[in-house]
Amino acid sequence: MKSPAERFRPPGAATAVEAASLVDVLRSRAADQPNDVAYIFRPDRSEPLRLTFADLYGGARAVATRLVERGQKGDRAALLFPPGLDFIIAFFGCLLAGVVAVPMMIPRRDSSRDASTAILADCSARFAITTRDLMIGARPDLGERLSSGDMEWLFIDSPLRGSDQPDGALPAIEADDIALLQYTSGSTSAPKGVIVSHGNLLQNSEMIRNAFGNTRRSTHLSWVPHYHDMGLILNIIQSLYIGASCVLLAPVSFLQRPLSWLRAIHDYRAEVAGGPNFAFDLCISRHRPEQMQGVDLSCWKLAYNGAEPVRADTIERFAATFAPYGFDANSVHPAYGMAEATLLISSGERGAGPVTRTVSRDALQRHQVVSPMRNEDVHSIVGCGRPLPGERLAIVDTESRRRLGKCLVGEVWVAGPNVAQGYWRNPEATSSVFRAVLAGSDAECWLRTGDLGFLDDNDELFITGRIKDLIIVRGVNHYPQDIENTVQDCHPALRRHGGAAFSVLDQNSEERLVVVQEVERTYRQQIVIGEIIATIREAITREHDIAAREIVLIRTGTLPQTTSGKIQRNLARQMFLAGSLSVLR
Amino acid sequence: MEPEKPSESAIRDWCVKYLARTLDLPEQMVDPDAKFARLGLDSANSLYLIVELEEWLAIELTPDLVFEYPTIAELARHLAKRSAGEISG
Repeated sequence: MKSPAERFRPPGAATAVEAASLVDVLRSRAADQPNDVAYIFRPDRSEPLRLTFADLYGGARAVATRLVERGQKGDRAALLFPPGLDFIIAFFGCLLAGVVAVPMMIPRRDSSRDASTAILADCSARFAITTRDLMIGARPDLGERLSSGDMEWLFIDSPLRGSDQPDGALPAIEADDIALLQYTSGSTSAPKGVIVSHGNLLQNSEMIRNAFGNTRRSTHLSWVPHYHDMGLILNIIQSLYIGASCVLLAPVSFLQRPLSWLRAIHDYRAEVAGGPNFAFDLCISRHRPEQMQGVDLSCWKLAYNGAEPVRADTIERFAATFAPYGFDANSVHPAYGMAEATLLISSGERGAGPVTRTVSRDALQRHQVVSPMRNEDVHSIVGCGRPLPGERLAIVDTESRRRLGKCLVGEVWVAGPNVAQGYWRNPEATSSVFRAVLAGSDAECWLRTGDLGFLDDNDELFITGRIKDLIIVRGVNHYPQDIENTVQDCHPALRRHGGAAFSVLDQNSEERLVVVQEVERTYRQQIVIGEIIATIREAITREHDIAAREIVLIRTGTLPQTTSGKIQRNLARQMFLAGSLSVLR
Repeated sequence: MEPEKPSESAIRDWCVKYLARTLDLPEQMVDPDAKFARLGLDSANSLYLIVELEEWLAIELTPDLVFEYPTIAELARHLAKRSAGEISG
C-alpha cells in the first residue's frame, strides 16, 4: 500500500493520473503532449536530432518489449552509450520493463583499470544495451572486454519490432521498485551502486522542481554526461518530470568549445543550465568577445553550480565576464547533493543569487566559523542553499554523534524520501553510510554524506571540507585506493601499502592530486628518481585520466600509518604541506 | 602579405612552455620526445592544448591529434606542415 505522500500528480498534467513511478510520468507526457519536443541532441558537425514525447514513448516501449521477452522484472541492464538520444530511449525502455537501469561510462580505449568490469560483475548485469555503431564500428574491443557471465548484448539501433504491442505485456511499476543503480561510489575494484527507487526519483524530482521553480517552459540545456547523476537526474529526468524540452550537447563539445555551450543556451532560449564549478572557470578562461557576438544570455534564469566545491571567485568572475551578454548575476545558483540522496540535498531559490560569507581561513581549517581578524586571513565561502522541504538535514559531531548548533562545523547528515535505498548487495557499506543514528535517538536512520559543513542563522548550508577519502577533479570522483594501487603496480621499487593519494588546493583553489609513495630500501641505490616519477605520472594519466600535480618518493617506513597499518592520508597531506616528509631526491 | 607561419621549432617551444605552465612542471622537465601521458597530459588538458593551438595557428584541429602524434616533437612536425599548407586534415 502506498501512502499519499508517495503518489504524485505530474506538474501541469492535464490527464488526471497520479504517478507512482517515472513510468507513469512518461505515459502522461506521451498522452498529454505527444508532439512536444522532449529531447534534442545537438552534434558538433551535423543537424540537431529531435525526439518528441510520443517518439520517446514509442522507442522506449520497443526496447521494453524486447527486454520483457528475454528477461524478467528486476534484472539489471548496463547502458553503454555515446552522447546522444539512444541512451534516453534505452533508459526509459528499462524503466517500462521494470529492468534496473545501470548507466555506465564507456571505458577509455587505453585504460586497463576502469570500473566497468567490476560494475558489471557487482550488479550481475543480465543485459548490456548499446548501439551497433559503437560495438561493431567504433569500439569492437568492448565485446570481449566487458563479457560477463551470461550477459546478453542488445543493440538499440537494430530493427525494432513489437512497438505496437499494448502495454499490457509490461509489468506494473510501483514507487518502491528500483529504477536505477548509480555507480559513483567506491573504488574501481569495489564499486558501490546506489539503489535509486522510483519513489526516490519522483520525490527528488519534485524537490528539484520546487527549489528551481521549474515549469513546462523551463528548457534545460546540458553537456554533463548522461551517466553522471547531474546529467541524468537534473536534466534528462527533471525535464520529463516537468514536461519541458531538454537540449543535450556532447561533453567533449563543451570541453573543446566552452563558449558553444553559452551559444546553445542563447539559440534554444534555455532557462536552466549548469555544471560543476570548473565549467564556469573554463568559460571565463576561453572567453573571446569575437566568439560571443550576438549571444544574449538573458533567457538563462538558473545557472546551477554543483558536484564539486563552489568557489566565490569563480561565480563573481563569471557574472562579471558575461554580464555584457545579458547574464544576470542572480541566476547563479549553487547547490549541493550526491547520488546517495538521489541527487539534490540543498539549493537556493531561483533568482535569489548566491550567498557568500567571509570567514577566517585559519579558524576554518580548525573547523571553526569566525570572522577574520587580519586581511590575509579573509576567506570567502559560498552557501549551497538551504535544506529542501520534506528533507531533514543535521550537522553532527562525529565523535559524540550529537547535533551541533548554528555556525558549528560537523558532518552533514540527511534524512528524507530522497535518500536512496542503500548500496546494491552491500549490507556493510549500506549500514555504515545509510543507517547512521544520532546519540539518544535510534528511531531514525540518517545518511552520512562524508562532507563537513555548517548551517548559518538563516539555515544556509556551507560545505567546508570532507572527511571521506575522495578526490574530486572536474566533478569526477576518484578514490585514493585506486590511484595508490596504480602507483604501486608501476615498479617493484614502490612499496605495497606504502603510498597515499590525496588532493591539495592549487593557487586557483582547484583540487589537485598529490601522491606520496615509499621506496623499498633495497632499491634506493638502483633507481633514478626522475624516471620513476615520470613512470608513475604516466600510469596515473593513463589509468585515471588525471594530471598529478606532485609525486613525492619517500623513505621506507616514513608514511604515517595507524598502529593497525591503515594509511593516514590526512596526516600525510599535512606533512606534505608542512614540508616534513622524508623525501628522496 | 600573409604573416609568416610558425616554424616547427617555434611550435615545439610553444608547446613546451604551454605544457610546463598548465602541468606545473619546470620547462626542462618537459621533454619534447616524451609521450604526452608521461608528462601527465590528461584528456581534458589535451583538449585545451589543441584548442590553444587552433587559436594560435588559426587552423582547425581534431582532438585525436595527440593520439596520432603522441609527443610534442611529432605534433610540432605535423602542425608545421599543416600550418604551411603542405598537407590537409
